[in-house]
Amino acid sequence: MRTLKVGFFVLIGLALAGCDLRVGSGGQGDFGVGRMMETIRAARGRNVSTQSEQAPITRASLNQIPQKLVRVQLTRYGSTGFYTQVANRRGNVTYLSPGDRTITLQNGQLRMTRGLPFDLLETDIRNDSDRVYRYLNVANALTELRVSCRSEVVGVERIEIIERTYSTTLREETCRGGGVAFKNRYWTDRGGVLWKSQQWIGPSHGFAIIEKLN
Amino acid sequence: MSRIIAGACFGLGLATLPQLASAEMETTLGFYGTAGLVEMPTADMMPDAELSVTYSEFATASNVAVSFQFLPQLNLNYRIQKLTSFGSISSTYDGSWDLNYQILPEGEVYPAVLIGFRDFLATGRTASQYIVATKTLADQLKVTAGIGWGRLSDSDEIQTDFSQSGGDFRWDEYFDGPEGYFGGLEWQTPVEGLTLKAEYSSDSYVQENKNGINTAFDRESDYNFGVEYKSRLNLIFGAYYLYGSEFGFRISTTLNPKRGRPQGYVVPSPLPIQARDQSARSDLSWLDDPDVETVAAEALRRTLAKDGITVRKIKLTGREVQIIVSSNRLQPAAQTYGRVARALTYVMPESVETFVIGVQGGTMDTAQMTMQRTDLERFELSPNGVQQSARTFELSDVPADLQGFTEFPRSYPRFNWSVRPFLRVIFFSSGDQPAARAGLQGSAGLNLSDRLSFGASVRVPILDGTTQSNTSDRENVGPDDSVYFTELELTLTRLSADYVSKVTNNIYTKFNAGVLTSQFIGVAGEVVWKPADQRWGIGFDINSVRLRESDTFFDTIGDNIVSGHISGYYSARNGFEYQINAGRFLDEDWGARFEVDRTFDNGWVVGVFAAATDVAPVEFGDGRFQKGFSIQIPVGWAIGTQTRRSIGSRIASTSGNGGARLNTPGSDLFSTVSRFQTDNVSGTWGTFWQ
Repeated sequence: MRTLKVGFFVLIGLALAGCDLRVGSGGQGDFGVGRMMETIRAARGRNVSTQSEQAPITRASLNQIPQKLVRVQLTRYGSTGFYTQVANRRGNVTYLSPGDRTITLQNGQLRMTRGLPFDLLETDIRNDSDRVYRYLNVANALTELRVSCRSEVVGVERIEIIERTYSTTLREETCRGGGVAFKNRYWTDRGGVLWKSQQWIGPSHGFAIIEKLN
Repeated sequence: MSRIIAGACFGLGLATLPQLASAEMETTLGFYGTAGLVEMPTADMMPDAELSVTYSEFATASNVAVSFQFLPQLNLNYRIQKLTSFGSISSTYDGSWDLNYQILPEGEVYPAVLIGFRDFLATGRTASQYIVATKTLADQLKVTAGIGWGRLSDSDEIQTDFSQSGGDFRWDEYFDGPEGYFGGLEWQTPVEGLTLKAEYSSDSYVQENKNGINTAFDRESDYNFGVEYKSRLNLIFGAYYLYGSEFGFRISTTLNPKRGRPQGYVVPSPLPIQARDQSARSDLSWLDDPDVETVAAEALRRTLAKDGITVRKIKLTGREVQIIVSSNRLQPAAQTYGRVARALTYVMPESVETFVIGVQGGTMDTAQMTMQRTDLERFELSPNGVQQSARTFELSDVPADLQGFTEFPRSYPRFNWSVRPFLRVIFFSSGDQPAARAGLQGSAGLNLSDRLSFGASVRVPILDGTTQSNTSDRENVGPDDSVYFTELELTLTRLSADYVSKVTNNIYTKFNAGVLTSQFIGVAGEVVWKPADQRWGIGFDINSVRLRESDTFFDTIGDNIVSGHISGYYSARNGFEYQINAGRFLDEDWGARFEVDRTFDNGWVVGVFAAATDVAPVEFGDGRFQKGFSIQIPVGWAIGTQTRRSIGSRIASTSGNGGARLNTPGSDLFSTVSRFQTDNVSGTWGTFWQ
């Protein structure tokens, strides 16, 4: 069952990353876009990520997956799901959940969400400290939140992600502004790979805990 | 052609972010449904756009009130009051308008100051005016003091002549005569949701105690006391001890379209914009395929099906694609453009750089957005892409003479039918109290083309509390159509041929002929001029109808009634929409009708309207001139999804003939045309990217 579930994400990833969908690029009338959409529809129908994951995934099953996966826990919604990488544009990597949500990370840092209430439309990172989050509010109008952040390394930690442990440096980022205050955490290994992070999405969402699985 | 919006239109601000509300002492309502103590008003305002509904009752009066915070400083309240033991009248219903304007918001040192009018347009039975001040102390206690006139004058010298019909402004009576003083305290207790109130009332209940007869209660004290509790379900319950002898209660609830659903809207994630292979941009070999447009449309159809978007027309050249789509969802207009743009990045060959995306309002091509694909790719990942795209993408009219397009028309003929319940409330017409009619409505439609359709509707009242007699000497052309309905009998309410068309790039028409409403049979025509990139438009309509005879399908009475109007529409950037219709109305009266709607981007509409015409007051009857309010609540707002449906009603506080307009079958032409135009795109531009 677990393998099936993971295989499912693989299919999505393959369909999205591997197929050229455009007119004139393949056999007429047999578009990749059709196959892709059917795959996405099937994946979306399962709605896996809207529920807490019941069965733990193993490293052995992960090793069979060529696609890049992250595990995302949305603290406010109490949901955990596996998100498959579906796009990588200029360092902006987008991951899709079967529950029809996407998150986009730039160098591991959360830039936008789609498919959540009050989506984080964009994050304007102006410099090391100043940041502007833009959301859609309840009236679907654009609303922005400006915060100032201070970052510091607070120690070294060993973390475990699905049967594998990593020696990491923990960096904390304390942000304040617009009536809110929050603390993001980033766990990075010696090679500079960000394996885990806990990032604030917005006033309505709480945090996302994002773990890089492969 | 013009840019979508300027940055100023975004309405940036943290006030609308959820969960960032301040811990200020909440405004509470009084017996009359507006901000108040027990019966006395306070200088508070409800939160902007707050809609509240109140029922209150004690010895002599019960109120049903609907209040709307039209502006941050302006509150409008419509109240149906049942008064017993009022002067020589044992029992009467009264529709009243209350208006409160906060002159000065509360500051650190000074109090909020408000000027208010109760019952300023109707019969004046509860008419009063006041100036009141309220100050919050220590975030838990509010102190209010005010001076009142009319009913709040604490005097028996108030206006007592109620023989004349109400409905007029009474300028000479406002703030006139003896005055009275009132005041009180409001304590928000440490118990969550619990508030205690005490007030000194200047309402001496002169009319109710006149001549020692019809005395409904003994006014033994000037003091009133209350305890109120606000539940987690946003229901407010109040219990009161009034005038030393009576107990009363109040139930209120509030909604706020600006606060909206606390859970927000969940919109399925869109496809990420697909990046292009730079090297393939010059490859035009795909143009050799003669079926390329059909194949592209099929790919788009599959991609866009989940968003309820259908490709209607497409024209593909080496560097540009022009596409017209229709949408059957109530998603924000900007989001429709955005979803199509994303799909095009997957389907269009790399060489196609310009996207021209047109969307149909109804079945007419009403607006198109032009964008460069390079910009689309760039803005999606830009830190400030939402505003950059708004400044770069352009909205314009779709040319009326589209040529060279491959079309995918709707299949005709199409037949549709529905059966649904209906509820109709009639205020103060032939009966002396509000009454309702409820039952089933069956409708059927036959569409022969994008332009021509036929429609029929019947209604069967199952419960009918309306009075089915016309007490006026004149034929009733106003909104009360009670005479046409009989309980458990079928009434034809529409049997018409309807025709809509786009005449030029920005002129649209609509014609109807047949049984147009339950009351009228005849012909109607309307023309609207509304460029896509403009926030205002002009309309003209002319109608020739006859009144139908009740209990028949097609018989008529009286002569032809010719009515017609020139209409102006303006959609302001702050969400207010203004409409004026000037001309000849159905009672052959000349004048103008004004409507102001406050629209919210999530589909809510709350508005007020009034018509001033040359119909003689004596002919119009109680209420003097047409006025009322309208509320539309989208179903999607309530259940958190996108649907086209909304529930709501247009409620006229009077049912007289003056200022009555013909409601023609089918969708409102102006709303249909402007659905995907700049007035509906700019406010929700962020959803283009959602």
